[in-house]
Parts: sequence; C-alpha cells; structure tokens
Amino acid sequence: MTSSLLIRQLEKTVNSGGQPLTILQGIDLEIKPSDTVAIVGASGSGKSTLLGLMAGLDQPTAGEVHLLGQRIDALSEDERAAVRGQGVSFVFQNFQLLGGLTALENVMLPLEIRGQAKPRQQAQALLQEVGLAARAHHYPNQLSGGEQQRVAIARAFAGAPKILFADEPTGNLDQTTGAQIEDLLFALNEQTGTTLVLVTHDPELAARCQRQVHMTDGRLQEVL
Amino acid sequence: MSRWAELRLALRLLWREARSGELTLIVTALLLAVVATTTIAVFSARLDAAMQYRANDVLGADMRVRSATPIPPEWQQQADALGLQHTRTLSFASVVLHDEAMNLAAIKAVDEGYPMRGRLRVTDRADDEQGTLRQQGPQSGEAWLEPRLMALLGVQLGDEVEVGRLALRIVGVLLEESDRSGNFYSFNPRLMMNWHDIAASGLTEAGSRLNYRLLLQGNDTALQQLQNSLVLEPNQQIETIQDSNQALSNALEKARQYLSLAALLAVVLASVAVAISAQSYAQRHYDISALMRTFGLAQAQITRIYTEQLLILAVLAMVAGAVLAFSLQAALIWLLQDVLPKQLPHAPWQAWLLGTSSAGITLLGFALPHLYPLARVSPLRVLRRDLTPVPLQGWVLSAVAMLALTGLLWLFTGDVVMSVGVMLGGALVLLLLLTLLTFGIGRWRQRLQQRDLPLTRRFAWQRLTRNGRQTAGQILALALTLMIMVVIANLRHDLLADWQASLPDDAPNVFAVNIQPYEKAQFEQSLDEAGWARQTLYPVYPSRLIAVNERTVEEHGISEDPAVNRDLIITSVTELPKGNRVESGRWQALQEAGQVSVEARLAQRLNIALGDTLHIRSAGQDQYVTVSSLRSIDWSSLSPNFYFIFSPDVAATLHPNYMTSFHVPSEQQAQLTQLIRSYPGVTLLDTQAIIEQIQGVLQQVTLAIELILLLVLIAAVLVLVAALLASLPGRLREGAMLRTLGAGRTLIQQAQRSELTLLALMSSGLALIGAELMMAGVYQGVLNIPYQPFGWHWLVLPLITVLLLWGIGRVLMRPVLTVSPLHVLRDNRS
Ligand SMILES: Nc1ncnc2c1ncn2[C@@H]1O[C@H](COP(=O)(O)OP(=O)(O)O)[C@@H](O)[C@H]1O
Ligand SMILES: [Mg+2]
Repeated sequence: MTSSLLIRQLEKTVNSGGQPLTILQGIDLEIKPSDTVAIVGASGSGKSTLLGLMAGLDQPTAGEVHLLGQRIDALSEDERAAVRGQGVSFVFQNFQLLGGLTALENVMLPLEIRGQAKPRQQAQALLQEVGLAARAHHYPNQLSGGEQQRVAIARAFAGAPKILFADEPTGNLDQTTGAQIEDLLFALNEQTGTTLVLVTHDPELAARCQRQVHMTDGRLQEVL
Repeated sequence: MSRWAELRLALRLLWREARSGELTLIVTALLLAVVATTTIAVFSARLDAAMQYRANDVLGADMRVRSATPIPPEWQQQADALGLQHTRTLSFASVVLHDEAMNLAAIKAVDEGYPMRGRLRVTDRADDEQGTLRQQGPQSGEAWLEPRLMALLGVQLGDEVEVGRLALRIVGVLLEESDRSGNFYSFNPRLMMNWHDIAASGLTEAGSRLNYRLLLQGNDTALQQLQNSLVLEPNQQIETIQDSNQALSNALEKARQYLSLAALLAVVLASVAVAISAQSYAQRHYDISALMRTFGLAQAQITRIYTEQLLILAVLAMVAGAVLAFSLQAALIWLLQDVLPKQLPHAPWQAWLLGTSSAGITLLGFALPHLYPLARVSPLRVLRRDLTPVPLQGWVLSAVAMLALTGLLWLFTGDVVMSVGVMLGGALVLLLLLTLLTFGIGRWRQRLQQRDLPLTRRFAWQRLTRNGRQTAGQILALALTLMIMVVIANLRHDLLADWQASLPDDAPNVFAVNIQPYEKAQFEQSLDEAGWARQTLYPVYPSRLIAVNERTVEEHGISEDPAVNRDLIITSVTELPKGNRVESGRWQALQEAGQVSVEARLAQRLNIALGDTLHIRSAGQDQYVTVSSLRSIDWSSLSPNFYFIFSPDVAATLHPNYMTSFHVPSEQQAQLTQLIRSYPGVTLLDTQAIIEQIQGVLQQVTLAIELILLLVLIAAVLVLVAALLASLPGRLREGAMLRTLGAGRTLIQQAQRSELTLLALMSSGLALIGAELMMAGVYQGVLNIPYQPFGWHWLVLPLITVLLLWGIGRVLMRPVLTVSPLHVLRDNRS
C-alpha cells in the first residue's frame, strides 16, 4: 500500500523583511495510512509551516510532497484544492467555525461542497457522535470553546477523510476540556481509520500517538 | 461540483447567512438605493405628468396649433385619423357696443367640444359669485362677458350687445377661463361667443388680426405623430405649456431639477453605505473563503459563488425595492390627492427601469470590487490568521465606483458630458482631500506622540490616527453624507423661500396698461388711496424694429420673428428694474445719449450684439440707438418686464403712456370695478387666476420635496450605521482587551465618545466647507438664486453630528460595553 504522505528533502524559505529566511530544510517523512503522528517542538520552530505544506495549503521552495498518492508540490493552488477535496480535512487551534452558520450547517458545509448525498443526515449523525445533537441549531457564539471544537471535529470527520491534519487542537482549551477533545479525536480516528497528523506542544497528547517527530529550528527528528 | 450544484450551494449559504443577520446591512443599503431611485423616478415621472396635466389646463388642451389663417380642414381629418379629440377657437380684438357705450374686447369664438380641458366657470345670476363649471361654450346668439367688460359697458345679464353686424344676448358672466393665455399685452376684457355666429357677424372680414387655434387632446404618440406631419406656415405655430405660462414653467423646472438632484444624492449615499457594508462583509468572509478552499473549492468556484450570491441579492433588492417603491409612491400620491388631478397617468416603464437598474449598478460599482479579494484568500489563512488577501488598489476601487456613479448620473440626467465632468471633478477633489487628510493625520499622530493626554482622549486619538488612510476614508464618507444633507435641506428651504418671495401674498394680481400722461398722477393716487401695493408706473413707447446695423429686418433674416411683427413695448428707466441682471455691457451707459438695453435671450434670437445700431420707429419717429447692455430678466416675477429700455434722451422726444401692476386683495374686488369705471381708457388685466394656479402647483411640489428629503435622510443615517457597524468587530476586540486590562465601562465609553466627537467635528467641518462651495455653484449656476453663505449652520451642524454619532454609537456599540471580555476574545469572527 502507498503511504498517505511522503516528503522528500522539503525546504521552505520565505522573504522576511528583504532577507531570505529558511524556516524548514532537509525534511524527510513518510506516514503510512491509519498512522497517528504527532509533530512536537517549540513555538516558532516551523510546525505549522510544515503542516501547511503537507496538507497542500502552501507550496515548498524545494523538495517533494506526495499526498494521498499524488505529487502535489508542483501543482497549482486550484489543483491542490482538488486533491484536498478528495480526502483531506483539518482541525484548528481556533476552531474556525463560521459564525453565520449553525453547528449543523457548519458540519454540512464540506459535505455539500464535495457533493455528498444526504448532507443533513450525515451531519446530524456526526453531531450525535460528538455528543452535540441537541445543539445542532445553535450558532458558534452560543457554544463554549470545547463545544465549538467538537463541532469542528465533527466537521473534520464529515465525508470520511483519508487524512486529517490538526494544528494544536487543544491549544485554546483548558486541560479538562482539552482531554475530552483528545479522547474524541482518537476515538473517531480508531473508528474510521483516518490518518492523523497533529501538531502539539502538549506532551500527553503527543504520547497518545503511534509516532512522534520533533521539530527544532526547521529540522525534523524522529523521537524514539 | 457542477455549476448547478454551485448555484445551489450559493443559494443555501446566502439563505443561511441572511437568517443569521449577516446580510441585513448590505441588503438594507441596496434596498434603499432601489427604493430611493425608483420612488423618486416613478413619483416624479407621475408628478411631472400631473404638472403637465395641470399645465395643460392653462393651455386648454394637450397641444395647440395657432394660425393666422383658418385651420386647414386636412389637419382635423388627420387628427381624426389618429384618434385625437379636437376643437377650434378663434380670437381677435373687436369693438363691442351697447347703446352709447363701446369698448374694445378680446372676442373668443368657440366651437363644439370646447372646453376640452381646464375650467370654464360661468354664472347666470348676478348675485352668484361661485358660478358653475360648464362643459360647453355659449349657444348661438348668446354671449358670455367678463365682469370687467360688463362694468365698462354698463350692461346687465339679459342685455344685448352688438358685435359687428350681430346682436348677442348676454346670458352668462364669465368668472374663470383657465386657458386664457397669459399674454399680457393683448388683455382686453373677454367676450365669448359661439363659433357658428362668426360668419354672420362679418367680423373676420374687417381685417383685424385673427388667431385661429386647433386644440388637441389624446395620447402622446398620436400627438407627436401629428406634430411631425404638420407642415407649418410662418404664421403658424405649435403651442406648448412653455409658451403659455413662463412663470409656472420656471417653478416647475426648478422643482424638477431639485427632485432629480435629491434622488441622485440619495443614491450616492446608499451607494456609499453599500460600499462600506460590502467591504466589511468581505472582511468577515475571509475565513469562510479560506475554509472553503481547504474543503477543495477552486478560486474560480469561489468567485462564482460570491458573484451569484451578489446577483441574487441584486435581483431580490430590485424586486422588493420595486414593490416598496410602488407602495411608497402610491402613498405619496395619496397624500397629495387633493392637489393632484383625479386620473393620474402611470409612470413610463423607463422610470421603473431607471430606478431598479440602480441596484445592479450600485452592486457592480460599489460591492463587487470589494468582494474581489475573497477569492484570492490563501487557504493557508486557516493556519496563519495574519494572511489577509491584498484588496484591490484604492484607485481601482475608486475608478470602478466613479464609473458606476457616472453611469447613474448619466441615466438620471441624460447628459454624458455633464456626468463625466461632474465625476472627474468630484474624483479629483476627493483624491486631493483624501491625500491631504491622510497626510494630516500622519503629522498629527507624530505630534501627539510627544504630548501627555488623558487616557481616554489618548485612546481616541490613537484609534483615529493608527490607520490614517482608513480614518481619512471614514471622515470623507461622513463629510459627504453631512454635506449632502446640508445642501439638500438648504436647497429646499431656499427654493421655497424663493418661490414665496416671487409670489408674496401681495404679489401683483392686476396689470394696468394704456394709462395716459394726463391721468398718470391721478391714477397713481387712486391706487395709493386704496392702499394697494403697486409697482412704479413705467412709461411705455410702442415701437417697431426696422433695421439692425442699417440692414432691414428682412436683410437681417429676422422679419418672421413675432417680436418684429408686433409693437414692441419699450420703456425708459434709469434704475435697473427688479429681477433684471446685466449679462454684458454697461447699464450705466444708458445715461449717455442714444443708447438702448436689450433683453439677452431676445437679442440672441434677433441676432443683435453689443454695439449694434438699431433702427427703431416709435410713433412715426425714427430712432437710431446703440445697444450698450444685454440683460436677463426673471420672467417668473409678476411685474412688468421690458425687452428694450431706451436712454432718457431718446424717451424725451416721445410721448409715453404708462403701465404698472398692483395687488388687489380679494375682498376689495368692488373697488376695482370702481377703478375701471373711473378710468375707462385704462386696460386692466386680472392675473389672480394665474397666481392661484402657480400657488397650487407649488404647494404640491413642496410636499413632495419634503417627503423626498426624508428618503435622503434615511440614506444618510444608513451610511452612518454602516460605517459604525463596519468598525464594530475591531471595537469589540479592543474593548474586550481593554476590559481584561481592567478598564471599566465608563472609561471605554468615554474613549468611544471622544473618538466619535473627533470624527463628528472633523467631518462636519469638512462638510460645511464642501456645502458652501457646492451651494454657491448650484445657486448661481443652476437655480439662479442669489447665494448667501451659511451662518448658524457652522455652530449647529457639528453639534447635531456629535449628538447623532453618540446616539447611533450608543445603540450600535452597546455590545462593546456589555459583552464579557472572554466571550469576545473567543469569538471566532473577530
Ligand atoms: N510567510 C512567512 N514570512 C515570514 N516569516 C514566516 C512566514 N511563515 C512563517 N514564518 C516564521 O517561521 C517561523 C515558524 O513559524 P510556524 O511554522 O508558525 O511555527 P510554529 O507553528 O512551530 O510555532 C516563525 O518564526 C514564523 O514567524
Ligand atoms: Mg503553529
């Protein structure tokens, strides 16, 4: 079976105040389907940048990225969007729910965009799964942070993604709530067999993953 | 995802957002743009038609053709073929006799079908002052006389008068004849008789000047068709309302200009509101766009989704706006039902199109450009919040907006050159102001950094100066709004005042001409004793224009002009008469010998220039005079006006008679009859009917103007609301931040107030400067009303603006004060 994600000699250099600034260099990584991988490291070490490149949100300066069996580093944004549409989803530190839509509609949105059948029923089921069936018609600002993140998780699992990227999913939550979110994330991951790539600086969360990689100053190290 | 699925998604998203209140502001702004334009376009089209209708009362028809020779029967056949109603009249001057008494009368013979339109009020009892409205003229063998003529001849109802070879019995007193044309120089008293008696009277053979008229009524296209097909002789002429009543049409023209100006300004305001709300709409949707990209949507799809949403909004706004506008204009008409004719014509479809298309133009020009960056949002924004798309360059945004406005202006005025000119000028001024303001704010920021200010004030300064460009834009938008309000309100006030002034309660309602020199002093005394406000008695020298620069009028090519074909009423005064303005040349030159001052428009028509020598024959005497000044005349004033004014030396060789106008209060009509008896040689014309007509029209126009002002005001408040709402998310964040730092409610509120006060003061100052400039331009350029700078506005407007902003701010900004800091920091829309 091909890997979910394969990265070769990845490099990212940006222009910062007229000076070239290398954020990532010489990164190699392979992630197998259904793997759970934690990327840990100090703030500013380049974790989010790496996540963005892996998920095809950004283009690397050099190196190769193969996502879900397709090489995406040379694709245009729209072509990468099409790849994302086929099975990539996200959970964010700041939830990123749409304020103008109810919880249910937020979960429905990716299903509708991907043209899946019965988006309403699917979304309802997912909300049930994350324990928020009763809050389906509430707007995000009527929900607590933990509830919002649960909606976001339901949305991320909508449409059975092949790979899920999470950027510090518990970063904005208190410990207890954070722990609940972790449980939910891993439980759903187990059920669906989704590949899970998460960025965190919470060692406990990292420890629950099958693999941990450590980021220091733009370089990656496997933690054994 | 198919196009169809995309459209459905666009619809669904739109619906969900609409439900959450996200779209309320932008939709309201759009709706207002449509409602304002459509209501005003439709209403003024109908009002226009109504005024035309009323004006046609004065004309007595929808259209009239005048001829010095009998109306060719083919014309009537043509009118029949086109389905037009028509009738004939003949008017001429003739002597009317009764026993020893005789008097010159304006005879009018009317055919079947007269009156076609307008009012003919007649009484057959001496004690009845009201009379009844008649649907037909006198029968054969009968005559109706004006009270004045009856007084002059000393006749009663039932007496007989001789008209030519014919004896006619007086069976009616003519109290009102709305289509009596306002030609002040042929105002002998009226005798109305039957068309079929003309031949028997033998009057048409006598060689007096005859005026045949064909009165026509019917739909516009048929009238136009007829007008196009008629081949007119030089002595024949189409008559329209403009010819029949100068004073009325002047007032209407000003009202029309005012209405379209107000409509346009309402649209400008609504457009600004749309732009502001579109911009903040776009900002609030960066996250959605980024997120939709992570779900796999391509850029082009996102562009399409937003465009489709916008188009749907536009269509909705058009439909809802049209419905609202329909009800609103119906309400306006209902309000005005007393002064409007019963059967009001419908507005032409162009008016509807004009109004509703404003939604499309406003959206394209003011909303779409702001949504452009939405598709350009990087999906990476989901990880890095600071990644905001670069909006279109300011100049692109402005250029598109200007283009849209020019389009609107063009639609409204139908004048491309003017529209482009106004827009380019406006753009330049705005750009200049924006640059100056941005620069000024930057300087100010530096200055203030070195000063210690109280905390709240420092906060306000900082907020305003942090983003100089944005603040400058905000100030300009506010200033524009205020300026428009000031201009509109002032124009209204001054327009009404101007009308009031030109038609004061004691406006002259009687003209007196043909006053002989020997009775001049006595006549003057009689008027003064009666206590009637009067004009001076102007000397009048009936004259004819013979040649210009020694070229006869034939050689000069003006012999067909009506002014050349009749006696010119020339006067001589040393002081410039009221309502006259010297356009070129020197008025003072009249103190020299052999000079004449000419009315500018007539001079142009007759091809007469400054310095030309005119050969004028007055009472058989030849005069050679030099044109030393050209004047414009305010024809709407009901005082005697003169095309030519001689220098005193010329007048000294001539024998004048005199004319004047004066005001007779309605309860003193009996005394007027007395005056008529005392001065049988003096001809009097009662213009009260004309004055009442004008006042009726002005009254209805005033109401309309008031209502339209209300629409402009709503648009203005909307701009304020949009501007403040757009800044709400930022304020919420900041307020929450301040509160986490321990700031209390009061402090935040004070800071807010300081800021709003500053905004209000700066924008109202700017607005006043702009308004002063604009008013001066409009007054002198368009409306011809003398301009006076504002006085107390300079105090009141800033105050009102401060209070208004505080008030709106208090309502809109309440969340900033009450929402818990935690909640705001968590709010993912921030
Ligand atoms: N486009 C960019 N321009 C300049 N600096 C960048 C850009 N993207 C990331 N950085 C910098 O690269 C470093 C890594 O950022 P990030 O990947 O967000 O770190 P982490 O998520 O590990 O905290 C930071 O110092 C950040 O400021
Ligand atoms: Mg990060």
